[in-house]
Amino acid sequence: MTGKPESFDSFLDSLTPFLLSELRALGYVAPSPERDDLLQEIRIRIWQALRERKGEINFFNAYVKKVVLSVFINAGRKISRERKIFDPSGCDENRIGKKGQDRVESNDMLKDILADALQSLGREKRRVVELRFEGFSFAEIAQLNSWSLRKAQSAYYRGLADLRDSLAKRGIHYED
Amino acid sequence: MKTDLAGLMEAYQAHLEDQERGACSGCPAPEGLVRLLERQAGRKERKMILDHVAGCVDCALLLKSALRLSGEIDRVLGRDGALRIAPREGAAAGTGGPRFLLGRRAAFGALAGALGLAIVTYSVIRLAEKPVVRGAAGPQVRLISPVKGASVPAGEIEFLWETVPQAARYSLEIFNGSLERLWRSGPLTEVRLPLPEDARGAIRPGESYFWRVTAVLKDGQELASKLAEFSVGKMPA
Ligand SMILES: [Zn+2]
Repeated sequence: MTGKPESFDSFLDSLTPFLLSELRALGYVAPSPERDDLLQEIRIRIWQALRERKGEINFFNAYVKKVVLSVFINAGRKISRERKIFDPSGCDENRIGKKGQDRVESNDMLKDILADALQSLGREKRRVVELRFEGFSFAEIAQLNSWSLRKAQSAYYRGLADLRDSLAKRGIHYED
Repeated sequence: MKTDLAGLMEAYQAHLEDQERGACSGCPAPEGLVRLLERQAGRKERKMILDHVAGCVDCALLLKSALRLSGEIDRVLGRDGALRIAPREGAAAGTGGPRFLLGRRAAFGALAGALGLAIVTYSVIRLAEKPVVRGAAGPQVRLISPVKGASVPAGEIEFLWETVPQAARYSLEIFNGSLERLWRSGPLTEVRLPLPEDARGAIRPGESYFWRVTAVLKDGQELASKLAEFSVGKMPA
């Protein structure tokens, strides 16, 4: 890594460690540090996409970003598809939320009641609460909804209050 | 029956896993996710995608990852460090590919930023180094919450990680944004730890921190989790 993004090459070099760690978090395992096919493929695809537009655009940070994100998301989908081929049960160890069997069993009743209680929330509140439960930060929820941080927080806390009432009706008492 | 926030989050994720074993279809096209990330999706499309993501583990993981990457791209490019195509000298030769150059002032800013980023990235990689366990079946320490990038009021911070079956005990460390260790726990036997009073004194609202957990296995081997970043938010009014 050069740490000097004055050309497209060094921009990609600067981004590579981060790109790799995100791909690994999605379950990607490189054959070896020297032979990293997926990373190579990503670099080539980004390169090709940019070459096609050569000469058309002068300032194109936004375009570069779009291409990198698009290639990354496609790679993420590919990893996910391959994981399902090798592990159709979806019980992959790399998943967030994969729990030991004992914990899953103890959740059985709560998860059904929770799923039912969430249905009673308004659509927007429910979406925000579910995104938060999936681990999205308030800043991320705000960004994705084009909201202010304050609005994301307030939508979540209002949703959580409704959920607390809904759970109470079903015999579950939620405590902060 | 009583539960708390971590219990609800755990139950929701278990619920999603169940759903996924049934069917996980209708995931939005990659272009849709890119539009969402770039704030170019219309209101209707945005809601449709987010409704899907809220119930799809795959898309949630991918979108979170893409959000982090999006932030990283912004940082590497620098706020006003536009990449530009250099004059097309030698383009016909078809060698080397195009060069995309930065404006001089922007290049200086980007260089300074990238240098800082390089140091932190290098430190993260160094800190995240751990005994390498080959194969998917090897034990790993997986952090659950606060999730990477979360902003949580100090009073609500509870560290939660997955049980490592062979672990005899765990320890938890908190680092500041420059990756200097601020706090380290004693031996822990539980897989959750509310932010202790003495650690609370070391952190400030609005700042970002990193945390990691090290599991000491019964045979004495140590396994460290990846570093996860979280920021300390203010308590809601
Ligand atoms: Zn999906």
